[in-house]
Amino acid sequence: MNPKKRAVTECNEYQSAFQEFSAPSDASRFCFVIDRGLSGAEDPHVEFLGFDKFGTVACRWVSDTARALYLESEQEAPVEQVRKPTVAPRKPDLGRTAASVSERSDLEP
Amino acid sequence: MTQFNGANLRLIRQFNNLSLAELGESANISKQFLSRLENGGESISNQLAESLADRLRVMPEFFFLPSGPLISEEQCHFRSHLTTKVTLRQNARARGEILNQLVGVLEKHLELPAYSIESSEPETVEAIETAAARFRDYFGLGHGPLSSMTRVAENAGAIVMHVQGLAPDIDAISFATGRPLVALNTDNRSGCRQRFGVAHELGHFALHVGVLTGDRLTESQANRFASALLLPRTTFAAECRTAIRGSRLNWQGLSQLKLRWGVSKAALIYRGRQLGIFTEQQARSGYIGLKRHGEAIQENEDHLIAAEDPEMLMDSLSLLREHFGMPLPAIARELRLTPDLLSSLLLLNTSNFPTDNVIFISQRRAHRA
Repeated sequence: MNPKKRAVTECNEYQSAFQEFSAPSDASRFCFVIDRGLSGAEDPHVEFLGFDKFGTVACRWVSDTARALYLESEQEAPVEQVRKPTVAPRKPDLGRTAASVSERSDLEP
Repeated sequence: MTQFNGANLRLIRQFNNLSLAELGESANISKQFLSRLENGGESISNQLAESLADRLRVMPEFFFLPSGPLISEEQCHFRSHLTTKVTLRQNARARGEILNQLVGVLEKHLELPAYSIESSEPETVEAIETAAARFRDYFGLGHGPLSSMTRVAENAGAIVMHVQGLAPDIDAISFATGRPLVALNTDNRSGCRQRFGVAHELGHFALHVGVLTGDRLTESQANRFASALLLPRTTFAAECRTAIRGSRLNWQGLSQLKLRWGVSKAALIYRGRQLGIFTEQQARSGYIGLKRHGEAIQENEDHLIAAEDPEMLMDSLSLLREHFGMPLPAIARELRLTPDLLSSLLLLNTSNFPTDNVIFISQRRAHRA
């Protein structure tokens, strides 16, 4: 990973306001970097970087291999009770009935 | 009666799983003559039509029905299209054709759930995950375990049924006809394998319209859809972590997940790996563990997950009998089949249906002759 975007390398005016109050070695500017991996396919991951007021990386978090966003909750998702399929008699259709009768008449002995 | 239709003879011969030689021998005609009959190169006598009808469990009129468009290769979804034996494919397709005709009779009289599976392009893994998530959204299935995968398929407009005689490595086959059919292998299947099989076939309906399936790519795409449908990443990924203790798999946690989600431990490990929850090494040790415990084919908890019985077809037959006064023999007659053949197709016990007041003219004539 070698980000060159200004959002990563430089401090903007809003961030610099916070840096005044931070200790020299503490991280006071943060940004996420989405790394698609080599060739855009290998081992994609997310990095969360924290910089101190001198622009040095003070802390770093790298996502693990989990690539799925999921709901973090104490409660499990409830079991979905799937309803029984509905089958009903078709409404009378005179044209269809007539066709059906004529179709069957050739079977009569 | 119209012209003899040799295609119908071939269809019902393949349905009965008979070769040209076998049927020819039983009807006392040469296989060459039979082949010419099937290809329309010979005319048939009434006596021979009745004799063949008797052997093939149809009414002689069956041979004279005009045949509609037959199910094409692209409409049949076999697990191993390229390696499945030709005779097995022919037999399965013939069963699909007859079932399709039966569905035609049902639809003439009954309102069934509309077919409503949205078609998607399986261009990327993400597209397949999205297709499965949209499927859940469309049918209001939430994000939790599904109480019945078979009902999901039936509510989506597919006809699900059990069939006998499929090869052991095939869990299910399906036909993407106007109203799709899913035929489940009845031979010693566990409930969770059946659920995955139905979800897999739904994957073919959603992803492979007009595509010849059965190769590695399309089967893995349908498997991915099935995994995503049964185990949505938004909820399953979090729960899946309960199956890890330290750096190792927690087998007890895996068993609990299996009972809750109705999916085999092998499929849970596979999904956990897909989502990046399990490492490559954890997944590999999981598969080895299953094999070592003798659970490669049948897992310990399989008997705790009930097999799902298809309901729509049986409900339709009941409704035809009760509302329209059409018992199974009458439906068979409309299709020009014998009740025996239709019962065997639907795995029904013929003794449940009153057939003693039905006289088959063809059989009586054959008896007299």
